[in-house]
Amino acid sequence: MNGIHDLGGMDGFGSVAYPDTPDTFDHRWEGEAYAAFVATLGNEIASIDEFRHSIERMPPAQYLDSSYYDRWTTAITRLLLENDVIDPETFVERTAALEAGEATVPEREVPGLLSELAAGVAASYESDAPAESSTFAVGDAVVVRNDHPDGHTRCPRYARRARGEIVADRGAHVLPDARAHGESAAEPLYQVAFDGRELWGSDADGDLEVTIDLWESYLDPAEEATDD
Amino acid sequence: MTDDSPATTDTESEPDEFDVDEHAREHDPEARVRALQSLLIEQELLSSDAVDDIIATYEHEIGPKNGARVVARAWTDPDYRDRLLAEGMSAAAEVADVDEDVVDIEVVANAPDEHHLVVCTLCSCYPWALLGLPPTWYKTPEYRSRAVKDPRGLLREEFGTDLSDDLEIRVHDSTSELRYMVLPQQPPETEGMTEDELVDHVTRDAMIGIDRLAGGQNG
Repeated sequence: MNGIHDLGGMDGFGSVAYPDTPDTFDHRWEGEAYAAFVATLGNEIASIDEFRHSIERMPPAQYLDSSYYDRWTTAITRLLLENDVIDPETFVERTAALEAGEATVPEREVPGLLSELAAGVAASYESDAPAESSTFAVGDAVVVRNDHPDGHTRCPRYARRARGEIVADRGAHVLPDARAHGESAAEPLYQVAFDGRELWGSDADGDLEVTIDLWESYLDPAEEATDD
Repeated sequence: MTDDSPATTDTESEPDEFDVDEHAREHDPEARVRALQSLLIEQELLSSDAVDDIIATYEHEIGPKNGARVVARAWTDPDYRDRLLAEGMSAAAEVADVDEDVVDIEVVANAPDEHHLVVCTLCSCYPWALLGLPPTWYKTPEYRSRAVKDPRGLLREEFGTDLSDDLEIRVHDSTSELRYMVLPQQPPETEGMTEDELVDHVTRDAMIGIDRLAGGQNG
């Protein structure tokens, strides 16, 4: 989908806040959001691609206004509701009770659960797929298809219609566009290099190259596309 | 979207459909995440000890020191450097306590005439197995939007890294499950140091590419 998450090449966001805090969680609840993410993937309630797509479905203004782990929390909540792991009424009541200081999180230890969750998370990230024959070879010129799917895709908007060159064949990988919607498909994945001026026009940095990992169905051979 | 789960489709016809985004706007994320945590723990889909362990692992075990050890070894051992550039994670597992199967990382090497930079324009994909959690700035629209379009200006104005004009800059947008990490050039003033001493000279920022390390600036 052409969502707000697809930020490459946008202007006007201003200055980067740097230096910043250490590379750990700024608040305990952020680590707890990470744990809820581990539970969601680890129990195979949703895949990593469904998780990313759940973030992308936030309204654009809210996406920009929310902190990173706030977005995670909203995305995980959406997935747990859609998969009937929690029900909205109980969730609303529990949120209100915790906010009012009238409830606490239950303490319960489950020995061995963490290693099960870790295995589930690893399985969810697993993207290697059985080998399929690749259409393109290193050195081939390709053009990124001008597709605008309604659902999830890992083809950034700024690359569409751009001409690039295959610089690596990564073998077959799970297609996120399918797995984000509970479907199963795999395709060859390629690293494609684009010249800065091809992406950003004649005023762009002449010594810039951008590489993007793109699945086969995002690409056309350069010759065919230019003949259209 | 044709692929929405049945739960969404069913509730769309109901007048009092619960709007998760609206609820999120009105309630503190801390309370919302603890509500989720409570409900997950009650169903034994999560546990108190798992939450504590997950947080402790990221705070104490997984961090940029792993990447720094890998870089220090590559600076001192040319054969290792070749293995690292060919097979990132299996080479990394030789020197750092990382699981080579957990994620694929491709290591890209800076050169006198070439500088690499890592970004994820679509979310926040990061070589976490070697660098830990991504820093906050890496996840912001400010960084993600500009890194692919004007990396030279971004590095100069926001991170104080002034790359010379004749230096080719290669930006890697992390769109797949393969992650990128930069192998910086060794600063000349550290020549002759031991691997252990070198570890302290490798910064997280240099392994993302927003820094080129002292002495490596002149292309």
